[in-house]
Amino acid sequence: MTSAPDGFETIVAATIADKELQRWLSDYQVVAKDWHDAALAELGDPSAWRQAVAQIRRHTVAHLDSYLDRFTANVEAAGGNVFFAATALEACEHIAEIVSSKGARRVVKAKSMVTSEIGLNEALEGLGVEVAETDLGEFIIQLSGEQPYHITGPALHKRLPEIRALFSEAAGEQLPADVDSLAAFARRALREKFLTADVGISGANIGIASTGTVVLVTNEGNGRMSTTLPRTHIVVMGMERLVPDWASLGPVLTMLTRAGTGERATTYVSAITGPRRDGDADGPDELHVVIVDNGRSRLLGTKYQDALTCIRCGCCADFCPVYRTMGGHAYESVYTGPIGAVVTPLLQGLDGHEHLPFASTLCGACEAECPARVPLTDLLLELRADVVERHGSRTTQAVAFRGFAALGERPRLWRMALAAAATAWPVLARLQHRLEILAPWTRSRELPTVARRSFGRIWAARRREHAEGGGARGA
Amino acid sequence: MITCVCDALYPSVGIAAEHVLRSLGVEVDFPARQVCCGQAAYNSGYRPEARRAAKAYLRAFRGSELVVSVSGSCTAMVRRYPALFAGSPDEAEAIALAGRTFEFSEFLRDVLRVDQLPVRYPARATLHHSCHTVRHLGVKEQPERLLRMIDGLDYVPLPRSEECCGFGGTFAVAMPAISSSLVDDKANRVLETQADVLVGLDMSCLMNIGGRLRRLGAPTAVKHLAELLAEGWRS
Amino acid sequence: MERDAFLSRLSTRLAPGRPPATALTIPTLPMLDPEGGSLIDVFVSRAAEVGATVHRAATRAAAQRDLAGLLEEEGHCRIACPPALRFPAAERMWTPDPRDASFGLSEADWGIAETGGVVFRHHGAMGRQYSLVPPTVGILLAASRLVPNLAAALRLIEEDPPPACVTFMTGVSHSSDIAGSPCTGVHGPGSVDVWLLDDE
Repeated sequence: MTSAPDGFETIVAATIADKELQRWLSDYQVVAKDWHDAALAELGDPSAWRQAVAQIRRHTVAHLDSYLDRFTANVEAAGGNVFFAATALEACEHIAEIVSSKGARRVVKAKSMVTSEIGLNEALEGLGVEVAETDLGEFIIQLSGEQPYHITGPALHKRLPEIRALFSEAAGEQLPADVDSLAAFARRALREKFLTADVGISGANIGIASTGTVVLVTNEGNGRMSTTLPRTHIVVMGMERLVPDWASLGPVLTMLTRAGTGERATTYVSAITGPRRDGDADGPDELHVVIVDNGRSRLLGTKYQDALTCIRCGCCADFCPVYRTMGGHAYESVYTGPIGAVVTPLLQGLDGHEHLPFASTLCGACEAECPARVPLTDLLLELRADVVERHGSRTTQAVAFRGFAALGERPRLWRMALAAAATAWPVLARLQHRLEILAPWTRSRELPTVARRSFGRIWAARRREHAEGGGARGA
Repeated sequence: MITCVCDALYPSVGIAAEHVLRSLGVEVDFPARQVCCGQAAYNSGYRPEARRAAKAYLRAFRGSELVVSVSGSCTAMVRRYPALFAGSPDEAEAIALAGRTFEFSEFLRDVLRVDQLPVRYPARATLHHSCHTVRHLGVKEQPERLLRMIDGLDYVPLPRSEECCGFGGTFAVAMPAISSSLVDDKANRVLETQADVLVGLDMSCLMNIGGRLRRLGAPTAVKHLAELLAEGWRS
Repeated sequence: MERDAFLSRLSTRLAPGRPPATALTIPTLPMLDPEGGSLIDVFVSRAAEVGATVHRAATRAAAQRDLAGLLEEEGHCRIACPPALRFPAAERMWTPDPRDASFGLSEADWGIAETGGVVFRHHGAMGRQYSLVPPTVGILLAASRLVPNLAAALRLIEEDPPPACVTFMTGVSHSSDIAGSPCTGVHGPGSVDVWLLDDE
C-alpha cells in the first residue's frame, strides 16, 4: 500500500539483480525443504506434533504472567539472579553494569537474537568491552559488519570466497580456500576467547517454568562453551519464550530442530538451572537471567497475541518465495522472513515498517509449515488493515477500493464499466507500453485482454435467445 | 460464481464451466447481481470495502441452492465470510453461503463424485496449483484426478509446484520487482515441462503466468480446467 | 523494572477474557518406541548417522581395555575424566584438566535411541567439560539406560530436581554456516565414541 522506503527498494533491487545470490538462495530452499520434510515425515503425523506445540505455546502465552512468575522464582531458588527489563535500554544498562562490576574486558556470546534486537553488542563495545560472537554464522557477520540474514543462519548469504577473505583478514594471513581449514581457523580463534572470557552471554531458546531452567540449543558447542567456561553467565531472554514443564519441552524441542534444521536433534542441548552448585566440577559461579519485554507485552490481550508463540525455528523463511527473492536484509531487522514481517512492525511500531506486511503474496507456505501454527497469514492481514486505517480514506488507493466496492453494490454500473473498458481496450492495448501506470505489470508481462463482451452480457444475451427461441430453459 | 476477473477478462471460462456442469446434469443459473467477492480489498487491508462487496455477494446468491466458483481464491474468500461478518446481522447468511460454495474441481470430485469424463484432449499438460486453492481451500488432488481422466492427455507435474507464482493480488503491482522475478521462475518451469497447455483453477494466477509466457514468446496455451474439459468434451 | 510492576502489567493485559488457568494436558503423540534388542540397534545406527561410533562391550573392564587400545592407536597423550572413571591402563595419561587433554571421558546417564544421543546430568565431579573441551571424547553408557525417545528421557529427568546443568549430546559438533558446506569439530569435539556396557 504505502510505497516502500528507498532503502528497502534498493536492497530488493540489488538482491534480484545478483543472479548468483538468487540461485544460491533458491538452491538453499530446495535443500532445506528436503531436510525439513524428511525429518517431519519420520514423526508419522507431523500435523499432530504441530498442534501440540501450538497448544503448549498458546497456553503458556495466555498465562504468561503466572508462568513467568514461576520461572523467575525458580531461577532465584536455584541461586540465579533475575532482572526484569521493560525496555531494550534497561536490559543493556543492567547487563553493562554486571559486566563492569566483574571488571570484564572480554565477553563471549552464544547466538541470541534478542541481544541483537536490543543492541547489546554496541552497548558493551561502547564501554570498551570486547564482544566475541562464537556462533560461526554470527562470527562471520560480526567480521563483515552485517545484519543477520536468517533466524538460524545469520550468514546464509555469504559464499565461500567472501568468508575466506573475511577469515584471512582476521587471521592476518591468506587462509586456504577449503571449508575445513576455515573452520579450523574459527575453532582456534574462538577457543582462545572462550578460555579467557570473563563473562559468557547467551540467549535462551526455551525456559522451563516448573524448575527455572534455561534451555540452549546449538550444533557447534559454542553454547556449552560460553555457558561453562566463563565465571559469569548472563542469559538474555524474550519474556515469552517459556514452556510450563519438562514434558512440554519435548514437542517444542523436537519440532524446533526437525522443522528448523531438518535434524532429529541439535548436537547440544544445555538445560541450565542456576549457577554451579557447591561441589560441582565446573560451571559459572554466577547466573543472571534478564527477562526482556521491549514491546512484547503490548501484544498480549490483542489480536496479535499469537505472534508471541513463535519458537524461532526459522522455517518460515525457508519456505517463503518472497524471502528467497528479496533476501534477508530487505527486512532491515534482526528478525527475517515471514515472522520478521510480522514482529518487526509489532515490536518496533509501524513507522518505517508499514511496507513489511505487504511484502508477501499471502501464499500461506510459511503458515502451512510453522511448527507452532503461528497464524502468519491472518497476522499479516491484520497488520495490513491497521496500516490502511492509519492512512485514512483520502488516499488514491482508498478512493479506488471504495469505488470498486461501490461497483460491487451496483451491478448495472459494473456492466457499464465493463462495456466502457471493452470499448477502450483496443486503444489501451496499443498504448500499453507507454502508460506509466501499467508499468509494474507490463515491465515483465503482457496485459490480459479485456473481453469484447463480459460474461454477464454473454449470459444475458443467451437467455434472451432462448426465451425468444421458446426452447428449453437456459440450463 | 463467475468472479470479477473472469466476468471482465475470461468469459470463456464461465461458458466452459456452464457447459461442463450442464453436461454432468447440473442445472446452472447465473445470478446477475454478482460482481466481486471482495478479496482484493480484504487482502489489501480495506475491510469495510471488502464487507460492502461481500454483502452484495450474499444478496446475489441468496436464491442459489449451491454455488460453484471458477476461482479457488474467491471460494477461499467466501469461506472467510463467517469471520468477516462475525457478530453482525449477516453472520448467519455468511455461514450459509460459505457452507454451500465450492470451487469447480472440488465440486466435480467431492460433490458430484465424478470418476470418469467423456473428454478427449490429446496434448501434454501441466497444472498450476494456486497457493490459495491448495493451502487456504485444501484443494490439491481434485484437479489432478480430473486431468488423469482425460483421454489422450499427457499430464506432467510442474516442478516446485508448491511455490507461489508471485501474483498475490495487488502485490503484483505493489512489489513488481519481486513479483516479476517469481513469475519468471514459474514460467521457466512451465517451459521446462514442454507442455502444450498450462492448466489451472485460478485465472488470476494464470493471467500472471500466461502474461509472462506471452512476453517470453512461448506458444504454451493457458486454460482454466473448465475450458480444457469443455473443449475436449465428447457430446 | 520491579518484578511486581512487570508481572502485573502482563496480568492486566491478559486477564480479560482469557480461559481459566488449568494445567496443560499434552496429547499423546506418535513417537519411536522400539523394544529391547531393537532399542540398541536403533541407537547404534542413529548414533552413526550423526557421526558417533558406538562400541559394544560386555563389561566395563572390556570397555576400558578397548578404550586404552584406541588411545594408543590414535596417539593420545592426555586423557581427562572424572576421578570415578579413572582406570589403570590410562593412568599415565591422566590429567585433571580437560583443557589440557586431547581426549575426554565421561559417563552418560541415559542414551536416547530415537536420536542416537546421550544425556548427562552434570553434578559434583561429573563435570561438563570432559564431553566438550577435548577434540575427541569417549562416553560410557550402560545398555540398560537406553530409552526409546526424548519424551521418555524427559520423564526420567523430571523425577528429580535438576542439577545445575543437564546436557543432551547427539553426535559430533558440526556446522553448515560456512557457505552451506558441512564441517565438524567447530568448538565441540569432532570425534565421539560411545561404549555401550552390556552388563550394566
